[in-house]
Parts: sequence; structure tokens; C-alpha cells
Amino acid sequence: MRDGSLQHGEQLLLVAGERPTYEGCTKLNRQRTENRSDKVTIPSLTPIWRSAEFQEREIYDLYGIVFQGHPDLRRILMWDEFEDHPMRKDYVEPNDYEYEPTPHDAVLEKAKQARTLEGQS
Amino acid sequence: MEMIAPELHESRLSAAAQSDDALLEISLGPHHPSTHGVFRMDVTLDGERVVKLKPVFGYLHRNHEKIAETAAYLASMPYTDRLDYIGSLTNNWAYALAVEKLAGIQVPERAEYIRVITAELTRLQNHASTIGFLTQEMGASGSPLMYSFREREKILDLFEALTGSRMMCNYMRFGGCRVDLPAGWLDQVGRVVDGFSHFLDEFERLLTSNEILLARTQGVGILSRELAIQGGITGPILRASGVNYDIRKVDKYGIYERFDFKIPIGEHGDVYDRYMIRMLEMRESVKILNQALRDIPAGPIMDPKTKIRGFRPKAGEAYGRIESAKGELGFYLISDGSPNPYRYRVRPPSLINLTVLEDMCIGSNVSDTIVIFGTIDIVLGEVDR
Repeated sequence: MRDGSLQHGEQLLLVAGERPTYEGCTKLNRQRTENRSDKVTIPSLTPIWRSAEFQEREIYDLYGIVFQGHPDLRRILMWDEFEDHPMRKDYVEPNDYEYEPTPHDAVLEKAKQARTLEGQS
Repeated sequence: MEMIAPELHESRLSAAAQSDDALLEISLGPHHPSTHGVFRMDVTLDGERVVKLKPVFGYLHRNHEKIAETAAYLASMPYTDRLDYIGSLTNNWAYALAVEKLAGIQVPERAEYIRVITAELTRLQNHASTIGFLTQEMGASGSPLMYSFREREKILDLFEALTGSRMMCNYMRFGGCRVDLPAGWLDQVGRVVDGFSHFLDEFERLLTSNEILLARTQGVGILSRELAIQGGITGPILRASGVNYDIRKVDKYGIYERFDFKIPIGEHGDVYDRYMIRMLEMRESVKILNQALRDIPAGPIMDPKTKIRGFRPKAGEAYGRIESAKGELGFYLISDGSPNPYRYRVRPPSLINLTVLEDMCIGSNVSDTIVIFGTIDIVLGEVDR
């Protein structure tokens, strides 16, 4: 496969994942990562098959697997500031998806402190 | 095979940058009317010429795969409608096919015919509206799009009569279909299909040899055969580049080996070929529909013993794929014996066909970029999932 000798149909299967002949790829994609901070790396297929370009970015985005040799490994579906990898089995969903710290929170916190101070005095 | 590595972009970009350092970066979209939804392109321009183009998407992302992994198998069926919302019936079929492979379920003959009829009707309305949108983006404001939408409306009415919904059909089940055909439905389909050939003649008289369409499309956005194969491109775009690859012929899923139809192949891989391939494919779909309407047998649409509630396939994995109107649509499932899939993966044709957008657009004008993008025929519900 390294020399690009695959027929077209086999290539599509490979990319689609029915019979991935790329050993490292299949093994690592199925691995459940024990340590969430662990960045698992596998070599990238993109220099050989362009079709892997967006799909590897997606796997990086959703699973946190780093593809060595990928020309443009960025988040593709989640926003850039997002920190976790939501397709992992141990991903903890946030209680409030819409939560954003606002100035209002700081005001409420101050009011709460003032109230406890009042209660003490 | 010739290597077309991504680092080529860098060299092309630097060559352009040396010739003129006044490059302009603009963000095309996400509210641009030509982007078919919420899609953005970060384009670097040298005058009017595109030197770099990066697609940006994910605005519609709702992690369909994660949701499907926490839901029962059947519960994902209505959700597949929302992937490629133009062709929900083909999405249903691809998912049903994957689960049937996983669990080894047989489909009765009548249900197979119904599946072919609904899938080909979906292909007709998808290609017709794609060409309508394409001409709209070339500046043919209104008329061709209205003609194609008039036909699409008739087909959506058929879907509504059959499934209760125009676009979110949720019709296929593992091992068959949800409800049998309503009385007189096949006659209605026959009338619509007959009218569709007339529509195609009319549409081709209007467009195929139109001087403006020829000038805007021929030689624009050429995708080479090698790059199309290397980029994993499927569907009408791949065939327009001269590769004979149609999953209806390769896999012969369902009952497609019974029908007599041809696969149109392009020569140049330009925008005109992609337009023409879709026109010819619609004519082939009409041929398939006429044969299916003639041959459809009576009988059950589903084996009554098939278990739908509390469905638990044995541990294993399966990949089911079909030729949807946009390309190879596949569902990859891993079961661990529980009611939910352990892994659920969609192979979205729209996303993978987008990979080569940059290669097709480099060196062309902004106005041509819009046209090239229109021929890829993406649906953002499927790109973002």
C-alpha cells in the first residue's frame, strides 16, 4: 500500500474503514485510551491518500489522536477554543451547554459575599 | 500513481506570493447565498485569482455519531434523515443496509423494489435541484431553478403520500419498509416519471447547448482522474473525471443487478461534464424506475417475525454502503451485543468530496469558484453531522 499499488475500489474501502489494511490505524482507532491527557500518535495517511485529510482532522478533533505528518492538523468540526474530545467514551458532558461566564456572575458572587459578611456582623 | 501531496499547495502559494505580495484574504460565507447553508471558505486572492482556499465548516455539528452511540439502533433511523436532508430515503437505506448486514436480516422482494423506486426518485429530485442551484449561481436567476423545483415538488408530494413527510421520511426499517404503498401510488409515480422525461428534454433544450452555460462551464474547475482517485472522490464528480465506478454496479446491493441501466462517464472532469453526468444519470434513473414499476411484485414488505423492539444484534461489525445521489454513503457499525451500537460511523460523501475543492479552485476566478463549489453538491447537514 505504501507504493500506492492499490486498486481504486480497495482504496475506497480502506478509507471508509471496512477492511482497513493499515494496521496501526485500525488498532489505535479501536483503543480505549486510559489516560485522557495522553496524546496518542499514529503516522498520517494524508501524504499518500488525500482523502484522509479531512477524516484525520476529524479523528483528531473528536478523539484526540495526533497524526504525525499531517500537513494541516486542526480542529475541523468543534470550534478552535474547545478543549476536550467528545467522541471518547469517557467524555463527560457539561451540565449546561450554554454556560458562559458573564459579568453578571461576578456581581452575584459579590452580592453573596456581602450577604455573608452582613450575617457575620 | 503520481503523488499529489498537500505540500504542493505551499509551493504554489509561495510562487504566487513572490510574484505579487499584495494578496487579499477574504472570508467567503458563512451567509453567502451560494454556500448552500452555513459554510465558509477562507480564500486568499491575487487580484481576482484564487491562490489558496480553505473550507471552514462545523457550524451545524451536533455529533450525530455520539448521539447514535447512546441510542438504540432504530432510534437513529429518523436521525439519518437529517444528514443529507435532500435525500433522506437514501440515507435510510444505507443505514438499514448496514444493520441488515450486521444482524443478517433478509429483505422481502417487494420491499427491495420499493427501496429502489424511492432511491431513484430521490436521485432524480436531488440532481434536478443541484442543476437548478448551479444555474442560479451562474446568474440564471430564477427560471431553471423554478423548473427543477416544480418537478421536485411533484416527487416530494409522492414522498408525502407514502411516508407522511416530504423531506424527513423515516421510511426504511431493518428488514423492509415501514408501511405498504398507498392505493394508486404506483400509478402516480408512473405519471410523474413520464412527465420527468419531458421535463428533461425541455431542461436540456434550455441549458445543454446554451452559449452562456458553455462559456461558464467548459474547461473550468478541472479535476484530474488521478487526483479524483487519490482524494477518495465518489459519485457524479468521480465519473465526470472518467472513472467508471458506481456502487450500484460494483456492489450490486439490493436488486440492482436486475435492472438494465448504464453508467455515464465524463472525459474532461470539468464543470460541464459534471453538469452533463447529472443530466444523463437522471435519464438512467428514469429507465430504472420504469423497469421497477413494471416488475414490482405483490407480497409482504417485511417479514412479520423480524424483531424491531429490543433489537440486539450479535457482537460484530459491518459496513453498508450505497450510491447516494452525492456519492458513496456508508455506515460502519460495531456491535458489542448491547442495544446500542458501540461505534457508529458515517462515511459522508459530501465531506470527502470537499477535500479537493482547493485543488479545483486554485488559479480560477472568484466567480468560477462559486460555480465549482456548486457542482460538488454538498449538504451541510451531512458535512457537519
